[in-house]
Amino acid sequence: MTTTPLAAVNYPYLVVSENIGEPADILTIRDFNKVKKQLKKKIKKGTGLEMAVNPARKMDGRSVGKWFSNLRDLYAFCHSSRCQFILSSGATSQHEMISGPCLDAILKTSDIEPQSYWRSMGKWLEERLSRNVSYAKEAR
Amino acid sequence: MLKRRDKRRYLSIVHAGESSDSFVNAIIKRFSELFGSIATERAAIRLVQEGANESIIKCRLEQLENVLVAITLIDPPVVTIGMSGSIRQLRRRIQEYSLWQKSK
Repeated sequence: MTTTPLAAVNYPYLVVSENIGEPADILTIRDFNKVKKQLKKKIKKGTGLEMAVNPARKMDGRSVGKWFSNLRDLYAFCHSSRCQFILSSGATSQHEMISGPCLDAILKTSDIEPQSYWRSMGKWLEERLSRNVSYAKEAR
Repeated sequence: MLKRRDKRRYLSIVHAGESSDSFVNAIIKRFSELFGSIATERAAIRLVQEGANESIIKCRLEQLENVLVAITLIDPPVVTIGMSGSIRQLRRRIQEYSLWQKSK
């Protein structure tokens, strides 16, 4: 979802936004270096910072290298600011989906340990979704 | 001294119908861009079986991680649906996958 639903809903949801100023569960980051300063000032603890793999497919070799460096920097930033690092496929069709081992390989290439990533991701997701579900239950 | 054969992995790949040669070349090109020519030769990426939408490639185990990264970052995109040390086991898994797709 791009905005919080106005009326109560009986399903779990997460609000995704590209605008750093907006309140959201997940912020999509395109170029970390460009928004780093803004993020440092405005980011709330516990927010998910998402980076998608999809744009890297269209890049040349050098830009992909920079993309990996950005990914590593974002991970370090998430660690220091207590945000959740999210690596997503950014898929819009089934051919753009990415299998688990491929995501793990990208994480390992960026010096991120896949096991700890998935563990913290699971915890964060459970905690975030349970928050939104409880809101729906109260409203029912 | 015994010269042991290098271990390899077979990867099953689903693509949107483009020719197998083109996506294998795209994987090799991307691999070379990211990890260099020497690593590309070491990876020994080869096409094993060609299909309309599904193909099988093989590579050396030591370069598997890098091959998976290269597969993920090619355009047009392809999906890795299975991975195995033996081609027989991989074919069995592909069969299971296509049965699951039909049941959907």
